[in-house]
Amino acid sequence: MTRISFENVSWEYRTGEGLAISNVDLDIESGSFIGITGPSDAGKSTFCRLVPGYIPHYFDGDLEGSVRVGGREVSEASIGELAERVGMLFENPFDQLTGASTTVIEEVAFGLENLGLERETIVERSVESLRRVGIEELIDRNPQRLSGGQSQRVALASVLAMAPDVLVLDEPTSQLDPHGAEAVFEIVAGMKDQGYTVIVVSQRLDRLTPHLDRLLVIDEGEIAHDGTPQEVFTTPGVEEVVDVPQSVRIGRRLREEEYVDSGGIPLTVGAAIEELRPQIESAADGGSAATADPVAEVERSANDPRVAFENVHHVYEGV
Amino acid sequence: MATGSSTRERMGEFTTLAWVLIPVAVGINVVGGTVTNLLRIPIYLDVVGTILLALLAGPLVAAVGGILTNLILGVTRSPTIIPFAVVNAAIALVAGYFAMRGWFRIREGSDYLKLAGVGVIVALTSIVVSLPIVVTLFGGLTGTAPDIVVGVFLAAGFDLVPAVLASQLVIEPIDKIASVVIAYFIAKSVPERYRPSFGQRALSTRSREK
Amino acid sequence: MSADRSTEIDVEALIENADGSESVFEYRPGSTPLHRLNPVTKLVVSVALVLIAFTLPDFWGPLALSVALLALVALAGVAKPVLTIVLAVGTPLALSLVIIQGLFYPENQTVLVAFGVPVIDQLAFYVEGVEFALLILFRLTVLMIALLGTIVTTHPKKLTIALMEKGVSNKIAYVFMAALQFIPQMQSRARAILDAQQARGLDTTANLRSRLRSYVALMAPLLIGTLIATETRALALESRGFTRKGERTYLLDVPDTRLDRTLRWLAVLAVVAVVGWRLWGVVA
Repeated sequence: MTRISFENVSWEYRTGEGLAISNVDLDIESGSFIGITGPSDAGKSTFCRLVPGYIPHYFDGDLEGSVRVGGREVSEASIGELAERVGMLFENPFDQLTGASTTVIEEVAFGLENLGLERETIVERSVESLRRVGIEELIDRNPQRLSGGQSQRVALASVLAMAPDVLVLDEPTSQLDPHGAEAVFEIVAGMKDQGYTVIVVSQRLDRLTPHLDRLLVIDEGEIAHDGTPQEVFTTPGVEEVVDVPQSVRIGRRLREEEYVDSGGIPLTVGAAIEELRPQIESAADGGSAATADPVAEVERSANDPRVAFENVHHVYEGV
Repeated sequence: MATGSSTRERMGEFTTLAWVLIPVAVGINVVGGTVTNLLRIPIYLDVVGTILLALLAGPLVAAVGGILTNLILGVTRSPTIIPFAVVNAAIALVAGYFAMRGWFRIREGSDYLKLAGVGVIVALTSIVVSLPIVVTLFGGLTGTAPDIVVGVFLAAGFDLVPAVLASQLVIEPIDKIASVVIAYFIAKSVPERYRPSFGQRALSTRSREK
Repeated sequence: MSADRSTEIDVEALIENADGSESVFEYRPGSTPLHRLNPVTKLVVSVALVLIAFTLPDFWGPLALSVALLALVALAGVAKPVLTIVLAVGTPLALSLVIIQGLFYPENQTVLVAFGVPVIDQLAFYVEGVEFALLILFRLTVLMIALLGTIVTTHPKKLTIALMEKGVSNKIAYVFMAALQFIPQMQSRARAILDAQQARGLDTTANLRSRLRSYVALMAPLLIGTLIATETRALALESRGFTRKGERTYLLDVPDTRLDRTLRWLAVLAVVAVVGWRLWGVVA
């Protein structure tokens, strides 16, 4: 099994200003589901790049400390070697495809061909990976012609085909439409039960929060908070650096206003509704219409992106 | 960082990033030509990708991109384009050589003359290398507009070689100077951290690192 | 896992018949003997024929080869796509060659036909010029038909696999496939931007300066975004063993039969024979 450990890790890009990550000390248990959040440019992506060895093998800069994946020192293994343990899913669903495939099956098989596996194994593993992410029917489609959500799932299938046991997902849904994001979230949420160690970075973790074993908040290159989602979200001042899910806010207000006095903070809309139910039922008949609204609002904000642009071109006149 | 880089490093290495840039450069070559057609710009601009690659990743990577451009055009448009792969490769080597020598480090206005200089040299390279191909394989004619110039010179009693030369002297320098300048501005617009290390050195206007 | 189910999938048929391929590659699926030959064999034979055509001294040889090749592509059922390109490229070239060389070829001596033309008195086509024009033309026809015949009967994926099995680097195979896929994508994006610009009043008849400006305005956003995206692609490729040293395997089986090997040897022998014959003629 694969355990990940960071010992006093600091990193500075050769072209960047200052430390992107500083003094990170961390142990990630095999099979755990870790969420990472924090403001933009806080070092979340840099953190992700350390696990599959992109830092220090691809990016130039100064690395201090040690990162180990399954007992293996990352700086001493190549990216290709690490890829058999660590799979990485990037934010942009199109850029991470090879661009050299005429069909989805070729795309998923690309890494397996490079590993030199038997032809039958390649086909089996490719088809199985597509099945796992629920897009078997896309097998003969041109990867350049898929929607963002489909493309992201092809990328995930390509990563799973390499049979890693750690998955690092860097903002896997932030460039997808709500429908595509929902589909990807659903698959990711199921990955833990399949035995993967999952590290998922997102500025909005709402949908995944109930599945997380542990939530890290990275701010200015350091781990600012580390604990269960309940612990982190109820830490005073945490809303300054992270998006606290609406259900948590509601739960906190309910406790502040002393409507509820016990139990863990609700991490899902469903749990928030359960907490609200006694309040609704105790309210007078006439009030029921009014209390239906907040629930609807919670639900909507959990699913809608604020602004979504896809493939937008604009050129100003006369330029 | 190590002082004194190896020859391989100075010529630009075949890193994964370089391999990924090659298809992009091929695309720029092909689409650049199409767009000038659509905009009815009377020059080719069909080696902008090759020159850009020479600037970003060095002469050898660019040569692969240049050859691939003609192979792809040979496959998608007409096989008669394939022999001119040699020309595209030569342009890559020349542009990459001048990038290595720092001709793309623009610090002041007069440095732009260096770009024009590279453009002229690239144009000459293109003419000299394509001449034997046009004359021996195509009998001097390619079924395009400059054929008329060749015809006029032949009619005036010139030999085939000078006639073909004359047809190319008109358009090549303008086309190649424009290509070099466009490639330079595109390369400059790519944020430094996304450039391969060859490109970072070729475009760096900071004083030489030790 | 239902392994038995997945092995039943005919990956080859699936890739070959995939529709909606955005590739500009003019591949026509089929199962004729020409389709079934190893792609490397087709390439070697094509190149050999081109070399022979360019070695033969007069136009009769290349003409005969062109006719033979045309019959072959017709048998493979791909005459139409091949001829479309041959005619599109060949017609202006043929006109240019026959007119200009027929009239002005420096070695012209023997008049073939002459027309009385006002002002310049007489216009004559010469035998030497026309023969030279036909020689060049049929050499190029051999080049076009041979290579186009190879291209339209070979799926690009199979071509790259066959080449890698003969020792070509997987990186070369990658850039070839990626460029083929990338061009139509970029072309449609450029066209979309151009359409948008025209809708907003871009004038393709405006002066050259402003059209050059439009060129830059059009290409810059397209290119810079694409260049930045290469970082993610490079990382993804590395994670999928792109630079791994050692044995590779391929999704498709591209057979290399005894027939293939025989044809390749015959092609090499034919080139040697023709070149030898020509050299002998020069020496003697």
